[in-house]
Amino acid sequence: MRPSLLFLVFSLLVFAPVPSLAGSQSGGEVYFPVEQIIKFSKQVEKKLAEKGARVALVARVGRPASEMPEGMHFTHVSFAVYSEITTADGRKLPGYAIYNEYQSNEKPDSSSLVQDFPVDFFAGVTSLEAGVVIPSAELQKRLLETIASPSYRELHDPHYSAIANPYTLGRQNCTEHTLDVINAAIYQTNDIRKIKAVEKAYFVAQKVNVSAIKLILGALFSAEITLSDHPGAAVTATFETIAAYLQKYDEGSEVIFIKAEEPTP
Amino acid sequence: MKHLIILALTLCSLLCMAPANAVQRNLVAKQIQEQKRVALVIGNANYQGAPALRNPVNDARAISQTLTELGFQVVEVTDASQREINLAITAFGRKLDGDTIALFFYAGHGLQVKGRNYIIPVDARIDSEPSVSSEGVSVDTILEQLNVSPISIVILDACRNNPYERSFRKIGGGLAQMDAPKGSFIAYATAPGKTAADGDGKNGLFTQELLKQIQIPGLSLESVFKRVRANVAKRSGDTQMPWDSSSMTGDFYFIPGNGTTTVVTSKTHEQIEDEYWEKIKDSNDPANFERYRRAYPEGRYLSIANLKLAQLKKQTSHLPQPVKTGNMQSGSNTSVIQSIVVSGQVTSAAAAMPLAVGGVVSGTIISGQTGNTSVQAAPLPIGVPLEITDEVLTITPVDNSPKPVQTKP
Repeated sequence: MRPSLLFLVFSLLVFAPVPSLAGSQSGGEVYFPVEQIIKFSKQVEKKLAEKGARVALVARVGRPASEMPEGMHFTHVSFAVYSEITTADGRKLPGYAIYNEYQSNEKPDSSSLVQDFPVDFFAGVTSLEAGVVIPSAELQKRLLETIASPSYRELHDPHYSAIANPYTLGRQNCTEHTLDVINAAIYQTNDIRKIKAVEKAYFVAQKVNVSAIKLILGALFSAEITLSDHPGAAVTATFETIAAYLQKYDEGSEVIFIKAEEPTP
Repeated sequence: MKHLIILALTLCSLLCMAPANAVQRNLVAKQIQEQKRVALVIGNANYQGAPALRNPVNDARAISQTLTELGFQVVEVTDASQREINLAITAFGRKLDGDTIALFFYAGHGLQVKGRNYIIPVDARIDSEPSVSSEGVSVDTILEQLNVSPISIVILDACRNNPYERSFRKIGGGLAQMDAPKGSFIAYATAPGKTAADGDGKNGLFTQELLKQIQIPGLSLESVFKRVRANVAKRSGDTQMPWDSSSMTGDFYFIPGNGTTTVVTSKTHEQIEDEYWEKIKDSNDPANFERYRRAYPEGRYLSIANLKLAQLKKQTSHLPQPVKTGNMQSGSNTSVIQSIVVSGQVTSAAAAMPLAVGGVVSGTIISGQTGNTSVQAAPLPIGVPLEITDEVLTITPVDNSPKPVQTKP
């Protein structure tokens, strides 16, 4: 997973970074000692278990807050699914598996579905914190069914854009895929047109608060930014907007924020 | 000669009876098939805030199986939370209409507060009498759902001792007697205010007897419960006396016998519709009018129901309504989702892009999957207690030569 050098230079100098940038990739730089990442990952897992979550949305911070556009903090969202995990030596251990849509390392304008684990998920974060939405028990049931069904894969569009418009087809980022899976579960459908109609009607996307000129330049210089799926002002789905959507419509869902516990002296 | 005549008569009667019995069986099967029968069966045993009960889940399963054999479309829910029970009741209500016979069976803890009965979900946190109404599910709610059916049968095997009684000012066991609404039949495992034993066998005493009696052809609903009462009283030495309350206007047979019809209702469809409309017409709950529309798609009050619904929906929030309630609707569901192993639809991060996490920790490791082989992390069923391993799991290849870790300045 190697972000384009041109884009990195460009984004550092000119472009206020956009939501999923680098945040939806796996690998990359590691900002914290591995022990801290492991400790934090276990802290998140234990919190999810304490809350009784069979499936939850988990978000991480892949860029410093100072570099993020207004209204965006978390850069990557995935599903954490309580699972029986088989180790290489055949033992079965309980824990959470993470179901991601990751931007491709080799082709920044494409993505793939990857299942990894909390330590992998938090490996490249710039801040040891997590955003979590625990859906209602009923929605968790439906999500488990949807994630285990072919719909989960069918709802994936490999054409990636960091600022994919959740209301339109053609480009998708991790948050849009997450939102599509949620609505597939709620509405018990994998008809993407129905799902988009629901999202248009009920989901409030985040306006990408970056000047038009910067967006156009970003689209010109980077494959992972495109405006082709934005008929009007650029909008995208974020952890925050998905959380707000579930808080409004999924009675019983809970949003929590987890920060790394202070190290004991 | 006399012997020959007797033999001939016997043979004749056997030959004549055989097809007659077959015809009778076919007739009974046809009668049951023609009748729409729907049941919601709930068994709660493993309570989070009270000692577990031994039999309700077994009872629910046995009843579900038998009712299925008797032509009921059964939704079975076991060890259900309050939300799961409410969802199941709503889904159950959606299946009912003016031609459907409805049966509700509950085994588990039940409590009465101020003359109202509540069934208790497994996640109930009851610390006082008032908390029963907020943590339990009112039996009245269930009866409301059954209103639309011409015959509704409610069986409550919920009269066990009150496990929360220390939290109550007045100690009271058993359920309160309720008057059965018109066209309904309510059966209790024991008399109002009394408690029933959980039972030492696989099923509670009441359920054991019920299972026997409902499978006897030709017994009317009332006769079934009369026999259950007699047998339970006898076997418990008169300490448990099942009770029922009926306002049935027709007859119902779980299995019709010779010459009996399955249902005879003295009310016309129009009367049932009128009665139902009378009950809901001033309601402010859109669900009542939606239920009416489903029950009477060509009903006489349909245009008013549509209008009421539009008005009420305008007043409520614009919630997106799920098209159906997932697995609650299919026939043989329990509240437990079976574990599903996800087949290899996602690509392996391990194969595609090894992480640059250096010095990976403890020796355990690796799951994920490579290429198109099966994913090794299988979602665990709901109901399994949540535990987290302390071992570190990652898709990062094990590397014994620690790499430098970059730390943010």
